[in-house]
Amino acid sequence: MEDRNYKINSAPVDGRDDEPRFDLEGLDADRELQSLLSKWQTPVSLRALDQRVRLSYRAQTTPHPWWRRILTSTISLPVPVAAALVLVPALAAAALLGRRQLPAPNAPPIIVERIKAVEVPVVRERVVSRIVYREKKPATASSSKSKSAPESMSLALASGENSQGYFTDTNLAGFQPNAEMNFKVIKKADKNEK
Amino acid sequence: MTEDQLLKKACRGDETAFLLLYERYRAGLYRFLYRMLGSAELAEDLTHDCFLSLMRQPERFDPKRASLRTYLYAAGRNLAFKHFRQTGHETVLDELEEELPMIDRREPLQQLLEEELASKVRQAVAQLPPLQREALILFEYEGLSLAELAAVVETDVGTVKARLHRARARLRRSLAPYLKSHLLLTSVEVY
Repeated sequence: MEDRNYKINSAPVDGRDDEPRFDLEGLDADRELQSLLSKWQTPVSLRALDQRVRLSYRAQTTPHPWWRRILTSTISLPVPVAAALVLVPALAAAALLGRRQLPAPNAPPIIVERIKAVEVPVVRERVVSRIVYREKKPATASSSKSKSAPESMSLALASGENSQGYFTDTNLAGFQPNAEMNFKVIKKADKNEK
Repeated sequence: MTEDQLLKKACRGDETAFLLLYERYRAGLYRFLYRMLGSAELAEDLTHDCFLSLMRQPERFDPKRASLRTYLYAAGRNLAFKHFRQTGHETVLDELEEELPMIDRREPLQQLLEEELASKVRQAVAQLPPLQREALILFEYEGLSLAELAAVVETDVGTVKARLHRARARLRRSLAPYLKSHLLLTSVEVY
């Protein structure tokens, strides 16, 4: 216990205090202070503490049945993990409840098309088409000639006009006869030939 | 039987071994915590917790590193500082005042003066910064060596010496009016 003398031969380590090292005044002051400090005594009765510690020790070391250990054992969890373990089921339950209570979203209604064949008697009207020939009014010669055919063809057209006033609308504009013609002479006509 | 063997037996449920260890160190640990915290109730709580945590986690004590006494003081110190952090103040001065022993007016003058001195010393020690206070308490009251003290507070011997020196200097200033009178009183007793 060599270093117990430190309280008498005390010296500043960092030199901040200017206390003399081995002076008698300092020695007396330390002894005086030590004596003064010894006036402070602590309560000596520790009976309550002894009893409490003994009971706790017995409770801690007494083996418990396995089911009691399971029921009373504790585990320590980090706060974020514990918070997640609480929040996740709570949120999931809330989401499930909310989904049940809310009305179904506005989905397009499913339309089932039923085709029902209905037989309706239809009276089909008979369509009769008839060709009606309208008599053409005689037109003036000057106007008809100028509208219907050129002047060079007027004779040919005039000849084709029948007695009833109809004529075949024949236009020979741009007609050119063949430059070469081959004649074929047939001796006897076929009796079936018209 | 060594402390380590006693501890192993105690952890296996041998109550006798546990009581041997407990009775060996409980008073010192309690006194240290009481002087650090200034509350008998808190000191009891923390002493209880120190021993029970030792039983719960005996592997934390390494006999190669320090003695069981050093380990227990260090555990108590850690709990005390944890309490300081939680409560935001470093001593329970109000409780100190409440825990003053009732003075019996029929006692002689000498006892009255000693009670007053004890009260002043309590207040002066409580007003020390926690690091200086623990150094002073462990060294002056519990009789730990400088090396043991350094191991408890987890620092080097030089730092412990500096803390002790400052604590004494501060106490000498705060108790200056009582030092001379104290000497007078003791001299009266001697003669």
